[in-house]
Amino acid sequence: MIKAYNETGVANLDKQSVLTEWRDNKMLTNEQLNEATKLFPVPFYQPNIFIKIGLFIFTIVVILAGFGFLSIFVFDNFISDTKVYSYFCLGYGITLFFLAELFIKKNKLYRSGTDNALLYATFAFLLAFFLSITEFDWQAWTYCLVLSVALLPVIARYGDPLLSIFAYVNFIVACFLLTTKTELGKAIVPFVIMAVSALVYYLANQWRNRKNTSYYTDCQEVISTFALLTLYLGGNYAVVREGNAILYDLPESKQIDLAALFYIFTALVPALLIAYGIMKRERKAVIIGLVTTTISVITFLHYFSTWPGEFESTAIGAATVITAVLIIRYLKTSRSGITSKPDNSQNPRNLEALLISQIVPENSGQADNISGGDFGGGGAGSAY
Amino acid sequence: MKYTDVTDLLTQHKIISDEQSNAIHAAEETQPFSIHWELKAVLYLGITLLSSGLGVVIYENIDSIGHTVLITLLSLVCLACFFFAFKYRKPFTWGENLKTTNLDDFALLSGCLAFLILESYLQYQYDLFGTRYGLAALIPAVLFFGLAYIFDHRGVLSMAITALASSIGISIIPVKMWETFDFESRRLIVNALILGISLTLTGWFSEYKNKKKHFLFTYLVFGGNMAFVAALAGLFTLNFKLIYFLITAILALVFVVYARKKQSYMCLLMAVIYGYIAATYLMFKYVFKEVNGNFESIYFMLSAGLIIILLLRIKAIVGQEV
Repeated sequence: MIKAYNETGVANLDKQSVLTEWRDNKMLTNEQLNEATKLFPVPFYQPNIFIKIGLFIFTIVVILAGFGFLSIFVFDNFISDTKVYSYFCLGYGITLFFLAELFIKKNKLYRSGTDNALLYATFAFLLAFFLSITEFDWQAWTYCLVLSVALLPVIARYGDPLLSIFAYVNFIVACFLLTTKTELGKAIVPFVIMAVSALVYYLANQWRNRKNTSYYTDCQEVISTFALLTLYLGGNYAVVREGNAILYDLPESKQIDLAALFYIFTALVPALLIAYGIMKRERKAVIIGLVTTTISVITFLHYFSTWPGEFESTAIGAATVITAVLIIRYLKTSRSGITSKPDNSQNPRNLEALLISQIVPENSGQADNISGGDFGGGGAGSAY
Repeated sequence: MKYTDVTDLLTQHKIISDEQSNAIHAAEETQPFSIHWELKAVLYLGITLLSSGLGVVIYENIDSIGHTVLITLLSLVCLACFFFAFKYRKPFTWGENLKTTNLDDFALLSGCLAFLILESYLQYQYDLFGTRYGLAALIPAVLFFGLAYIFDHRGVLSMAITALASSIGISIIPVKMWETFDFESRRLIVNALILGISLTLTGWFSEYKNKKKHFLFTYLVFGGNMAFVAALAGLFTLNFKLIYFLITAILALVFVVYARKKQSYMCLLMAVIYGYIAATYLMFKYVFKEVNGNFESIYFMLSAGLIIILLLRIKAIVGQEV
């Protein structure tokens, strides 16, 4: 049994969400959904998201309190030195691991908050043990590489997305540190990072296209997302230029070799990502395309723009609004299978409302900030 | 594709007919790819950049532009946005209006934004409301509440609640709430408590009467958190600790009762977390001070452990299938 959670259960969870989506799109009636759901039983304790949050928070509280309680006990009775402490972390981590396994089995948890918290805490304590037992003596790249390799069996067992991200980031950092050890490496490191990212993205995609890997869907998603992101960042002009300055200990970053290539890369990759995402219906590529477009714009402005910030902001804001409005109007009727109308399955309206209240300036606060008035920002204060 | 396995199994068990299965296949193949929310995010980003940039540009060139021109311009923008929004508005309903395109939303929000800027500007330049800041915040609050209901817009509703709160002197933007909460002032705490409870009740009432039921979440997030934070602020900083503890406890109890009745897990979580904070505060303030020994970590282990057990048996508490 390599997998901690019931595999069929995880797969059925996926299928149930497909069914609900069909119901939302009026392709199934409610009765049919009920009947169909019975075909895909999910044996897990799957509480509502808010309960999961609560379980996560309070599990962390218990873990920390337990650690505090035991460590006082340990230090009252033993001589306190780091060796004892690191073995104590090891013991506590192992205990938490068995607790996690027990809870998953007994309470049929699947990402229910408690098992996530126990898993992350296990990892954190074992990491603390590993770092302190090696006394931070090893080279940074070995740590990164060991971590990413050590996490592989953990990911295979739990399929946890957060740990997958952690493993991937460690892996790419290890690649970076290892390559920049030589002079030649320093020169080609952007291309190495890009090549490795592209390779990982390709492999993750291959993995996803294989049958019966739905246990790892979330891992595949986050790894390919981060691979696309590092692919872009590896060739981003600003990252390469500033990274170059750091690698060669330059006091100030200067123009790099092959600058034109990196300009093209910075400009082109976001556009390609968006186009690819829309063509392949890969939402994450579209979103990363938009995010990287923002980064590219900031990059170019930072090095080339002579305008004052407020003009940049106005011009780009206006251009963005006009482009978005035009696209929305153009795609009102769907063209080549793309539409600007919402589909029924995604509905983050509640979240949107909260975000709007963050963006919009509060009444009266603004004017008074400008005038340096007697009450502070945020529009509220005791001067009333 | 994955969904073919599902449809095959469904037809095998005669839950759906072959025609329906084919219809699902056809829909999965032809369903357009929606980039609605992505475009919306871009639009919001653009408008944030544009308005903040323009604000600075105008502020720095105010002498050459002139106040009258600027006010006229702002009023025109505001009116144009509202005009557009009204022209394309959907028929009013007490239910949820699902058919929105991006642009009428956008016009409505821009109009509200322009209105806020215009009002602040008039206040700053001409001291329109004098020192009656509360009134200055109340006007947009009333306007936005009206617009939120007419246009069925949760974003405008949250702006209205924000404006209403700032009219009594509180910043309730979730992130800023803890930063700007003036813990010293009893009047503010009481105000916030009353407003928070009123908003919560409004939310529950609209659910009960089935009028704009989907506004419930916004009302609860703002109102519930405001009430609990105010009660805790009173507990931490004011003298009548027992009263504020009782208020927190009653709030938590009411939220639990409501959660049981309506299976509202958000309410349950709020009640548990805020109630736990209040109880822990009391323990530290009055119990652990008096006794010696390492009771704090035992307290945390036992109490949080108990809550975990309760949450794992949530079915029994909430009283229905999770």
